[in-house]
Amino acid sequence: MRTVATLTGASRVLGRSLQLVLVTLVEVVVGLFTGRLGEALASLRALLGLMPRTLPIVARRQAIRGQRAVPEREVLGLQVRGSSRLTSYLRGKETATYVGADTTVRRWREASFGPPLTWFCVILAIVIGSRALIRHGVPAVGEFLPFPDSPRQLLHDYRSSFDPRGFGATVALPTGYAILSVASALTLFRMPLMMTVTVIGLYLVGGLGAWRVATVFPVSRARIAALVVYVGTPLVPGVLGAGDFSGLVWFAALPWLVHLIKRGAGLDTADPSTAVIDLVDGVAQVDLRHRFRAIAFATLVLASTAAFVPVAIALFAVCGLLIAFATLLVGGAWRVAAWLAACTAIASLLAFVLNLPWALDWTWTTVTGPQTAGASGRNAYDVASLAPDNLRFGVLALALYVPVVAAVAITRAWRLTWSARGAALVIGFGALMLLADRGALPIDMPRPSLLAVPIALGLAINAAALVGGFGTDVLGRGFGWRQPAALLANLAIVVGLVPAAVSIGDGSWNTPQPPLTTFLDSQLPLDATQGDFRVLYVGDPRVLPVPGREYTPGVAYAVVDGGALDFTDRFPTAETAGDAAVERTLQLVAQGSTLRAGRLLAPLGIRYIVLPETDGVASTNDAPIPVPAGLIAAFRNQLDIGSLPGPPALTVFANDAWIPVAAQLTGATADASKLAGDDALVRADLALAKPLMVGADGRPASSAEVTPGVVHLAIPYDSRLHLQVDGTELTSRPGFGTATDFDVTEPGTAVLSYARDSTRSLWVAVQVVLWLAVLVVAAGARASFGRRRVDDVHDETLIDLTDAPPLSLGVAGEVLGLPVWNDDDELVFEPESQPDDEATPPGDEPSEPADRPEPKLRPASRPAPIPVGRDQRGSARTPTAFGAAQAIDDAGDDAELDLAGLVASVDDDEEHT
Amino acid sequence: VTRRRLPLMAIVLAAIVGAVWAGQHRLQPEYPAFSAAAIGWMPAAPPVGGVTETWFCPGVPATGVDDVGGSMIIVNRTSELRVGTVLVFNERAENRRLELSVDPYTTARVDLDATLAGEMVGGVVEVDGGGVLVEQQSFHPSGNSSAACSNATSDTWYLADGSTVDGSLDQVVLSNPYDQTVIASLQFATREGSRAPSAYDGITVPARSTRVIDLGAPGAGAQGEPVLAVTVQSTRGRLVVGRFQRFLGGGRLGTQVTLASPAPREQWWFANGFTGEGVTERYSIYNPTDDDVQVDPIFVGIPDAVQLDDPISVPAHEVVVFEPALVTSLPAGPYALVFSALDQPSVVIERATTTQSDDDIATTVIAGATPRPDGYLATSWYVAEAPGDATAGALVIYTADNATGTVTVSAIGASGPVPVPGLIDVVVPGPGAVLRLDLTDPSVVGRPLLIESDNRIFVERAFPDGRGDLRYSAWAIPVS
Repeated sequence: MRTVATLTGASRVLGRSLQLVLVTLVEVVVGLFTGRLGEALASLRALLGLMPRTLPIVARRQAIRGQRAVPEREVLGLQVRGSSRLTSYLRGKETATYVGADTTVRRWREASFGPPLTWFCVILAIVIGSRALIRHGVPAVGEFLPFPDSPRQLLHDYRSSFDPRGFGATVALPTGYAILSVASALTLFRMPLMMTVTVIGLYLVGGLGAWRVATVFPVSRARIAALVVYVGTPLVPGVLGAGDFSGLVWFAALPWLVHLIKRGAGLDTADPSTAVIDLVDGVAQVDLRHRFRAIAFATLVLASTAAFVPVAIALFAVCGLLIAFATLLVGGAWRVAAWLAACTAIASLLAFVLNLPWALDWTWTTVTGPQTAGASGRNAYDVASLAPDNLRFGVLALALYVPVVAAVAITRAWRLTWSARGAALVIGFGALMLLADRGALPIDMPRPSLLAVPIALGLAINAAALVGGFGTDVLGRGFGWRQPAALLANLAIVVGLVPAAVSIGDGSWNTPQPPLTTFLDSQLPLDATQGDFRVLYVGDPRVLPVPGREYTPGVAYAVVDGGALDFTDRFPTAETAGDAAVERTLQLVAQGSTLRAGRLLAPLGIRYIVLPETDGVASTNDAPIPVPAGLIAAFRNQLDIGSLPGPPALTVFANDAWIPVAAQLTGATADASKLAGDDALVRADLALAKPLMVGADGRPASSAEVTPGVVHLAIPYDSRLHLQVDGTELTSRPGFGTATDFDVTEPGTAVLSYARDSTRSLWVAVQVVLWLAVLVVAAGARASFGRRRVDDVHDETLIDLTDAPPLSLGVAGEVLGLPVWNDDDELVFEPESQPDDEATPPGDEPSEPADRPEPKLRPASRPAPIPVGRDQRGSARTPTAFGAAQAIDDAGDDAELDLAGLVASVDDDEEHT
Repeated sequence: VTRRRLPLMAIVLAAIVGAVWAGQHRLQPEYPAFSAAAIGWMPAAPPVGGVTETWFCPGVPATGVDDVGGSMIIVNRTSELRVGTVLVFNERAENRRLELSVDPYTTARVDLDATLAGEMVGGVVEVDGGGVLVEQQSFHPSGNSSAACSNATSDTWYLADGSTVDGSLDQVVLSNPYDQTVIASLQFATREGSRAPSAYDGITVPARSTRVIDLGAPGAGAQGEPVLAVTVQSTRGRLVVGRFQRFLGGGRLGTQVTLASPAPREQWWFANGFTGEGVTERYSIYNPTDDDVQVDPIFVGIPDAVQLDDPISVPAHEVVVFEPALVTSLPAGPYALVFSALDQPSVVIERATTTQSDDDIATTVIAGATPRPDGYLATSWYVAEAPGDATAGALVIYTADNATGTVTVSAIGASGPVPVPGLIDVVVPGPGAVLRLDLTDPSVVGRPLLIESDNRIFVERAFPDGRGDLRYSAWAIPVS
């Protein structure tokens, strides 16, 4: 950098300086995630080191000025354009490592126009299918509720110990708050844009993950098959149309998780030439460090997923165990199965830890959500199609199961092993989904879309196995049933993609217009003069606009603050005394034990009771989910709850007896607040309540003028809530047996405050440290943080202009094409025109080794086939023709996006082991 | 098939078989139920221990003139003091709220015409802790009657048997106990079919008031109708609907207040049927749904059950009259009758019985009893107030279970229920038998009664209407 700063001409020095800064920052970010943090920090140090050396550099520039023999533009004309690092990175993509029974070989990768064309088509399809979302933003359907406007506030809320959602409580807030807040930087804190990018991006990330999983297959068409099947199942249109954020996140994460645990288990692309010996798996020799990296990376992915979908940890555990079981079932090495299981278990455990302290509030009931009443009555074939009911030709997706069976019946060697793993996912989760749909499981189960994601991945894996092995397992064998069966299965893949392809035409994945939330906003307007209020939703859990809490199977409820719903409402809330009061009231209403439910709900600030009937997604006008029997009647029967006119999608009731969330109580109402119990409440006079401190429901920090009586806060009693009147601290007490009330004896200015839980900061700090620790392990950083410091900053002669320039092992060495080390004893050359098995007739792989072209030694200077051998020390490594270039670019095989780059670094390290 | 592939293939094949089996054995969808109590049923005594218990009395004439009056009786069936409120309102939306305190096992009475006189006075009784029975009573020179008040409001109500022949009064009482105005519409069915006059669309019932719709009034659209079924549908809010009938012709005489039925059902039971000299019975089967239905009447409580060869067809929104006297295979005498609709809950059935005694005639109309929506049938029933005089055949009990058993009647006094001598462990003659009990013991006079059986039973009462031996029909109150 000092050289650049010294030698760059005056006209370009400013631009070069900016370029240096930007490139260094990018390098730091990339280095953090690719295991080259040390190099990145070195670059950063070099950049920062320029500042104290400014004067010496200026002096040297002046000294050099007189020695310029040619104009700078001529020097520029002689320089090679572009980024040497990028070039070497891309060059690294041209080869791939294959794991054989005893050796690991690096060969030219198949050069095909298929992958870019496929990706282009997939991205185009997703963009076209999402065009309405891109143009108008993501509609507030299901969990696609708008992100909060302020990421800063979101982060602040996360650091707080008070959760204002629901009834409000001192609890840890979801880790997703912090992730969202940090991630918002990617869209420059534009939250609507972030929602769109997130929704569409997660779809693509899932597809990319499937592609990565399919890298175990050496041919591109296998990866193409995995990609198109995974993104082309009807699952995703259904998830997007329903606003199923949980399903989408899980869809994006699962293939990456599977990819990472397979890396942790040492599974890699098997050498196609070993097909004849029925190689069960391509098991690479990897050391613990690389296993830990893979596990750490899986932990990060899983923890991030669990931050939004806690049940993903359990689902992933089942996935990992199924894959391990399938490995054993088809004769795989027990060590591989054990590593698969161990990676899964460790990643799951650590993901839980990374979500502490929020994770302490998880229960199986809260993470799975409320359950339906029992059997859905859907046809098993409809369930298996993974298609939503409103998707045309959804039943055609059943064709995607044909390759599952065909792959199991036809494929051989490691492809059979992967077919077994895919089939395990399909059968295992298919059975769970069918049994759950029939109400035949004794435990609560996650929603169907979450169970469907592993099925989709299993379908993709087996499609890849079948397509990838078409040459060897089908064409390479004698004519028989396999050929027509395989052709039929390939055709089935095309047929199975029809429903998803058809769904593209809608442009918004069949999201309902207008969404249910539109009605809610118009029906339940905020009015500051009336005070803050809450809304109680009761109904079938599938039609509630936010995740509910189960009252009985098939009936759930949720309490939210008045005003528009936002993304934070999609997270389950902690159970409080308020929830117990609501459930008790619902029970009384259901039993007909009171017709004064309004009074029972009044101290909780519940002004409206909304019974959703149709949401346009799970329950439509054409196929409505019946409202739980007696629900509407039971509320209509109440004497202090009145009906409000509204759209047919909702039945809205107004609680005539409601008390604002923050209220000044006087007279009989103030007296009533000292009593507890339903008996007292139904007799109480609740009319003498005035709104106070508007906004206190969201943030208990406000002030207002009060009169003698009671200040009532509809927040379950919390001793951290404080009220001072003219500087005098008032003692809090439970109000109406549930809320937090303060007795006011003198008029004055009341100031409400909340004493933050001091341990929350510690928790957050520990959590940040844990995340960073796992991140560092995942990044494989081995940088020496103990920077050697020099006492005196001095410039030194970097280039002796009087002598010939030395050859270095850096970029210059690469440019000159000088090998640094090339112990090519085991060099194997596959002509570029015949990449791996794809080019070896008759199919992807030769049926007999003798048919394969003889390996040839290649010139050491030729930048091509790179075997992976073992050096004399016995450690595996990757010789390269580029020597120092390899040191710069030891990226993995094919990482197209950043995330791919991250994982590629894990791959890469293993390849070099 | 390699050894590696074999177990995998076995599992895949098993999965395929399982999937195909599941595809061919589709389950019926299970729908959640939130509240059985809120789904319309006949008046019932809820379990004791609720926070509050509320009873809605649709209204009775309580002008206080010409011996026309009404009352509400509140029976405390528990051993503890019960307190609450009684809200009384009339057709002018005048209200009066009374504090209520009822000692254990005693009865409180609200004299409606003295409290708040009106053409039609209704009320709401709210009792903390529950454990009461509430009935409304109508006193009229042409016949007294009483009917249990409703436990719940509803947005639909049905009346199957009405008559406006010869100037007979058929008044539908819309009672709104809520603080909001209720909007309702009314349609009726006659022999000519169903009608929904625009005059009956958008009827407003102000908060805490009653409104009387006189179907036989000039211009009301149902004058001179011998058969008149009514549907009341509230489009905003909920109501309690009752009926006041005064029969003046068409072979009918007498006065009665009844409660409408909140929902159509698929099964209706009648315990106190009779064919023979001096008694005319007809059953009005009203189908308020949009589909035609078939209804099967089965005569039980007789040595050999009688069933019609063909079910009765009831077109949508129409009412069909069925007269047992025309069933030739039915022997004369008492019987019980169950109607069973072959489809979903779809009909409302009422029985009109006209009895001639000496020179007087009494007509009484009663809707059938139904099982609770979840299929529950009670084994214990209450009567809020026994007749003031010894009455033979006052209770008619039909045992729904196909088993023998016993019935015990207890009178509720200050110390609680006390079995009535002669009415202890009365043996039911046989499965599906009808039992007629006399309330002649002095200990039962004017007292609340508790009827308990070891079988599921229906208890219909045939109490004097104040005109000699003439009776009116009403159901006792089942324990929910």
